[in-house]
Amino acid sequence: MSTARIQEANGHAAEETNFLGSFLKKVTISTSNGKLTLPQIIIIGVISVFILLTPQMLSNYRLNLVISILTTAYFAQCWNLMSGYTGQFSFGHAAFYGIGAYTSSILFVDFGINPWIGLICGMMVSGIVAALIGYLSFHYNLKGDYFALATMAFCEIFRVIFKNTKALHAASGVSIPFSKKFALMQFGSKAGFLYVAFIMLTMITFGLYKIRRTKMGLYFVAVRENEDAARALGINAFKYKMIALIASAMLSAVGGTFYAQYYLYIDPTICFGNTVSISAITPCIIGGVGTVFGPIIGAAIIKPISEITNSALSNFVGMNMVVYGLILVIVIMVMPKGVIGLVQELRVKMGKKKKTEG
Amino acid sequence: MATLLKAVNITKRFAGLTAVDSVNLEIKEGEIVGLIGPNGAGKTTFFNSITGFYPATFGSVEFDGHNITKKTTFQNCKAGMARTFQIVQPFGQLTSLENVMVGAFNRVESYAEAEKVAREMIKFVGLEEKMNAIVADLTIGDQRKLEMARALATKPKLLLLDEVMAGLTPTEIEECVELVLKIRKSGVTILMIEHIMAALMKLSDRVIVLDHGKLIAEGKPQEITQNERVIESYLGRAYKKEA
Repeated sequence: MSTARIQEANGHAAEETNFLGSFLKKVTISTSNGKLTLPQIIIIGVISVFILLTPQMLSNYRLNLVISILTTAYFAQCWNLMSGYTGQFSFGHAAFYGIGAYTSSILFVDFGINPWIGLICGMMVSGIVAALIGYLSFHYNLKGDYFALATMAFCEIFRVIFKNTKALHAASGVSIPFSKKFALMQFGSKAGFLYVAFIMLTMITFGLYKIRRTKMGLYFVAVRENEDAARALGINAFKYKMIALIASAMLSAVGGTFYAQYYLYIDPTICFGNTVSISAITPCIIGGVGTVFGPIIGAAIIKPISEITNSALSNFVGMNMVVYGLILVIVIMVMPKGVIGLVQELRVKMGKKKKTEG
Repeated sequence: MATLLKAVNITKRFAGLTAVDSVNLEIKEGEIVGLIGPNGAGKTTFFNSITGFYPATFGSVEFDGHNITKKTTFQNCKAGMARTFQIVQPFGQLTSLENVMVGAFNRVESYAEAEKVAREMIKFVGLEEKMNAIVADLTIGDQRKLEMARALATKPKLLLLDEVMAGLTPTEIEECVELVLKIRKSGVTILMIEHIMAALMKLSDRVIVLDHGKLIAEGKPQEITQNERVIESYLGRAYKKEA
């Protein structure tokens, strides 16, 4: 077989008849295993200090936006672990988020159990649900579109169950009594929540950065890049997909509990709605799927945009979604590999220019 | 020499089609065995059945003294069976080094150690200059070499090569032949599917021929080229005149 034909066959194999799978392949960029350079560390440091100082500088309304950027980025990082690193496109991450929020809230409101314990319980329940979904999907080898649809379906099932079960407060949702006690996982002021959100985001980002240089991290990426090859090289793909899914679900549950404690109200749509799942995906796609900092950059871009369209177009119902969607389409067309992908491309081009000039 | 692989009565059916039909094969330690046959003869399917990619419908496989018939691919790799693919299957977005490291992690736990093994293996196949290149950007020849390095990094006892020379230039083929000999010297037994007869004649101790899923001949390379049935179904009359 000639080289050209083999390459053709390769390209064909990669395309498949799998929309989301091939979409994910297109938007994912190589997860760099490089160490951070000094300028990068300085930039991160400056941004971190700025975020930690925002309570002194910004109004409560603006502070809200910063917190929502941080929490969105956190949730996006959870998605990034399983879909960006490990390549299993989840369209139903709200399921894990919602379970986290509901577990801690119901345990607190109905049973008087401390939210901190509720948080752990939420993680456990979410992990168990993820294990169940993962086993059913991966055992029967659901991939790409089919896996994405399965996660979406499970999420929708949860929404319907929570909406129609009286014991789970049905459609009226759960209101959490306001207190200001740290012991009840309410951090006094908005500033308190901001610091906690910042710590959560820092921890998960640091984890994603570190794991890339371990056996497990490389195995995740190998499964994403080529599952057959990974199997042939001694990787138990099922096991690593399960680990990524369960870890991602447990971390998502933490995000859910945080949301509930911050806004003090949850209902089935807020927790299990499609928009919630999508809110984890868009920051990754805009920033760079599979990268360490992409989801944070994406969240920092998308949240203000949606905020602006919301307030500017509040007179036209649904118009904000149209504009938001348009912006998203344009972004994906202009830079399919996200901000980080675009920067990498520009760097390569600049490097080439320098070479030809010099 | 001890038997490393013993495949008995391997049969693989896809719905109505019998792709591999009761094939028996024994490979001794240190051998290079060539597997030839026309397109669609079931060579790759036979590979896939042995390695556990899709288990055989009937038959049993014994590897290194253990029955591995029901084992999965990754378990077989742990047991010491590595393979390459007919169509290269790289981890395209990763560097050469990382590609090979994935293989190395089959035997080692620490990142630093895996990196060391991977560097050795990349040097072994002669790709040290492309250590940090993204694999999707490499030529097919280099990707094939890399795939061999990756398979070798798992420290196999048996290496199954599926048409590693397809699509290579004559120079690359020569390099590849040298490489295969070097691999054998390092103590790895090899079973290879190959269409490049010249290379196969040079390399293999023994050749087996599949046609329509059946084993039609087995023997030394020279014997095979004289075998009437093999000429009829695979090599063609022209080959006989040349030989």
